[in-house]
Amino acid sequence: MIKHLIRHQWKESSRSKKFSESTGVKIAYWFFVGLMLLYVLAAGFLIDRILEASFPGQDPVSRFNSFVLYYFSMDLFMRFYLQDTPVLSIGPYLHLPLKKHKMIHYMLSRSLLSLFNYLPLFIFVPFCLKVILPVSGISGALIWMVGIFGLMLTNNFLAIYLKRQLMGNFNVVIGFLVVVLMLGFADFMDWINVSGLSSLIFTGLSENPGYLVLVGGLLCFSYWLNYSLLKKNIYLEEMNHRKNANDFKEINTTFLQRYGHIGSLLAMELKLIFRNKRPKSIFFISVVFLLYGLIFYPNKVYIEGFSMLIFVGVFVTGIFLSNYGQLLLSWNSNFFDKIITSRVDMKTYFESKFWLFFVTSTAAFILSIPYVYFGWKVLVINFACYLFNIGVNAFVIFYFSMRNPKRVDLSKGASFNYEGVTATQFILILPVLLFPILLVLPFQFFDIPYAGIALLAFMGTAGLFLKDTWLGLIEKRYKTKKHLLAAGFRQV
Amino acid sequence: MNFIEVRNLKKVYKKTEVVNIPSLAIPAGESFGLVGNNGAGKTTFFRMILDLVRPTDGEVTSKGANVRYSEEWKRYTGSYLDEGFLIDFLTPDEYFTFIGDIHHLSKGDVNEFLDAFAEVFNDEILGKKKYIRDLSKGNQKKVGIAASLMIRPEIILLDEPFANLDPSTQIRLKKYLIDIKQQKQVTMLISSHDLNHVTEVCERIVVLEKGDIIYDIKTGENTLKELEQHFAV
Repeated sequence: MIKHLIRHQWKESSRSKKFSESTGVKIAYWFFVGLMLLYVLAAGFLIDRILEASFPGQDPVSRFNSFVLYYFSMDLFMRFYLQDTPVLSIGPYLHLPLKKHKMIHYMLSRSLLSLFNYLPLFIFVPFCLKVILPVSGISGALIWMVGIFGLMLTNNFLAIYLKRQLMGNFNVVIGFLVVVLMLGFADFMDWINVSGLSSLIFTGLSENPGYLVLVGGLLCFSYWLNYSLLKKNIYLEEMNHRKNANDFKEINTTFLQRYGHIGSLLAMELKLIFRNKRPKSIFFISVVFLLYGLIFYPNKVYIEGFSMLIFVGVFVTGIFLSNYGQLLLSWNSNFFDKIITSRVDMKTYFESKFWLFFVTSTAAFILSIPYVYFGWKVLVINFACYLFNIGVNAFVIFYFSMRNPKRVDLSKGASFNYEGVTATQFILILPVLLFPILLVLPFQFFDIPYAGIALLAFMGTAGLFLKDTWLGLIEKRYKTKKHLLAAGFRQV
Repeated sequence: MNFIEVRNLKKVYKKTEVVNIPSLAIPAGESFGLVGNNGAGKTTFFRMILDLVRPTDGEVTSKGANVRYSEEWKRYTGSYLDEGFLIDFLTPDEYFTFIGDIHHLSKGDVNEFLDAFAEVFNDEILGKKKYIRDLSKGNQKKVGIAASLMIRPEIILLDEPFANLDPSTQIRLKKYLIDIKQQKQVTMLISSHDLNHVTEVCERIVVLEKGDIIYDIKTGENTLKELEQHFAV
């Protein structure tokens, strides 16, 4: 029976959307995954150097160990947000003559395959080989590594258990994070000594095999917690921690009523954004990225140049546009058939999207005004970039949004969700970000950069005046693409 | 006058003919039932009438205008084919308001219409702080069908309207359809697997098989029997 489950598991993942993506997306995806692994691996090999440089004269082993406890707290926190609970996948098996306890064991051991259990090894194993092995010998290093790995798996089960118990109550998790951060701060100020405790435990681990018994006990305990919880509650409605009716969010859109069809469509889009996880997180990420300027503006090299400032300007005032706009029509894929059989005039439809980006970009520009602290230059460039975003980039994005878009399931979460992303989205982002920089480069070459900035602003303004022409062109393109779009969106 | 006219309509997917209708006319005010097993091409045919699928060949006209080039039909056509017609992160109330706004119905019109549906909705749909995606399949269907009827259509297209509905609602919907047919001369296109319902509501039954029309009959006393015989293998 387990054999069947494993075979289904394999089919589920090999037939999933991620594998059926186009080659371009696959390459980009694995490129970033590989890059990340390389970074982590490099960190693992260099961490003793980093520790020596940061804490000169201290023993790197005990210093490293002093952070491990914090590491595990953060790991728990991360897992809580990102790791899937392997629950729903057993739904179709519950009514079959399979033994409950077997299914539970299967479900729980399946969670061991999670990437979260193996990614940290890229740091711990190199460190263990490079630093602990010479100090503690083979047996010490082995015990240390086994102990750490055992605790990682304990964390795995703990996260699943807590996630299920807290039913997605994220306040508790945030509270946990705050407590950890406060402990860290107090530790940093030498008021308490958590790092000392951590160091004591984990240095002890490599010296005393007895600790392994403790680790094994913890692991078994965390497994048993899950097992007994599931055994009692193996009903889908109890395991499914998607909150139902009580997650209703009232969104007042009466102020949009006087804008006719555009208002109705905007009201719908606003509800779409704030009632669905993925668009909502795009919105909040955009807000966070308003701070992006703080990375570049304080740096003399960047503030004296132009290219980087233009990049930041386009990015800060247009992050929502380029992020949300990438999947412009895909966001409406679930009900696209209704839109195109209703009396929605498609020009009005695109115009409503335009106003969405107009308002968000304007808001982003206004919020970025305080960057004037770093000089008037920043404000001028941001203003030009803002105009360029709404007058040119918006229409470019609209135009390309009709290039082979995919269905997006709004109810799915945001993290690691590449649904609807095709190579187009990767290619699209380049002209949007790079073109303005290239446009200004020749002017920089002739030492009249501000003429280039003025050109950006002029193009943006001209684009705004020609709005109806652009929208007409986009509508025309839509008409030739309509059936392809609708068919693509119907493909689940 | 013919409301819908189909000429030489073909849809081919990867060399398989899904729909092939050389000629078909649906007069105004007719209630037209489309019957056929899975894969017969019913939904694809409806989608071509609604310009959701591009025909490989031929054309569909609504009131004389090709649906591909005129958008006039959107004003008077009510349709519900599947969940793709629902905006599932809205509450039913918000959805009705949205559809009402798009079709220039006043708040009063919308409310009046919904009041008439109170029995069908059975207190489970309106005034609840619940998104459409959290409703049961049957209730979702009620919302979709109600929205398609709300716009005071001159023609309605419903794909499997009776499936998933509870018995009371099936009966009510049937009554309602017969009613508006008689009162307002609404043209109706209904596809169904349920031979009983469709023969009761529709005055003309067309049977599709692998994309071809193989029966086109006026509903009479023996129609149900004939159909049952035809589908009994």
